[in-house]
Amino acid sequence: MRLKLKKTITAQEADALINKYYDGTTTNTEEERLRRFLRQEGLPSKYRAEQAIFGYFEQQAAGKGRAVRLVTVCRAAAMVAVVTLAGAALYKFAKPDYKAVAYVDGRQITDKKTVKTLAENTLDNVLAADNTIEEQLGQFAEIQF
Amino acid sequence: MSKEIYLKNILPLRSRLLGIARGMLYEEQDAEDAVQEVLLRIWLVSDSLGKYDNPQAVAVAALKNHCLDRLKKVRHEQAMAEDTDIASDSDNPYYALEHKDTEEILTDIIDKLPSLQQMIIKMKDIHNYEVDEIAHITGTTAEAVRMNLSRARRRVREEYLKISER
Repeated sequence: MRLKLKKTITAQEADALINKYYDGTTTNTEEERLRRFLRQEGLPSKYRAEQAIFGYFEQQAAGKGRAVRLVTVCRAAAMVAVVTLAGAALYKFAKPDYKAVAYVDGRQITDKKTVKTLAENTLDNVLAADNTIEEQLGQFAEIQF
Repeated sequence: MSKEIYLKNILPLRSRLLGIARGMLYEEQDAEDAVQEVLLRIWLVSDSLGKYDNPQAVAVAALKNHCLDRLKKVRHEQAMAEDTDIASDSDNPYYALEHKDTEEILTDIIDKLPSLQQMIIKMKDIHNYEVDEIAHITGTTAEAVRMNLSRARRRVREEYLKISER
């Protein structure tokens, strides 16, 4: 018994599939058959648009996947880092006994109640930044498609 | 789990969303397109639906915002020249030189498709969703999806040939 290897589709079959493709009625399997046909070298120039289009989509499918938009995520992360650093600069443990101290505009503040209020305000800023990141990530998830 | 939330909480809202869209956009086809597009977008971020107490409210808000954006876009387009040709940039002889790269050309063409057509062609041709799946996600018919897909694909080919033949 001889096994027949599946050949690539003929030009006639490809033309029929291309018409179906533009009608929006090809299945994924048929498109894969068409893709294999179009990958061949030396095809007539009438297929150049389809070669370009199919090649483009194949490249996009291989490249994008579920890639996150790194630029904007980094920007959001940088914002949190800036706020956190700014918050950390407001209060600093100057002595080994860890007495709470805050610095505002270069002025040292040691009043416990004031230092506590300043620390709480800083944490609020960090939490607001977290919400911004969440918002932005939500938007990116929406548009990364 | 998140896809279940979509199918259980969001998709059943379809007729209500369509009613809202009709009220804002007036044209039946525009309303249908708006609902399909919003449903597709929500589907794509359905992983995050679990964190909302009221995902239905999110869907309604998303649709209203989308309809407002469409209305703003229509007003803007009416103020600009009509029948803008996607390839009008290619009347500029430098366009052919600037956009020699096939990837750039096709990205540009696809980015300028109407947004629903853009989403559908990408879901089908990049992410390999079947037409029936897209129809199920948007609560519409396979025929409606095929129509948009066909229009998108034909436009891409037409514009690509116009640009590449220069």
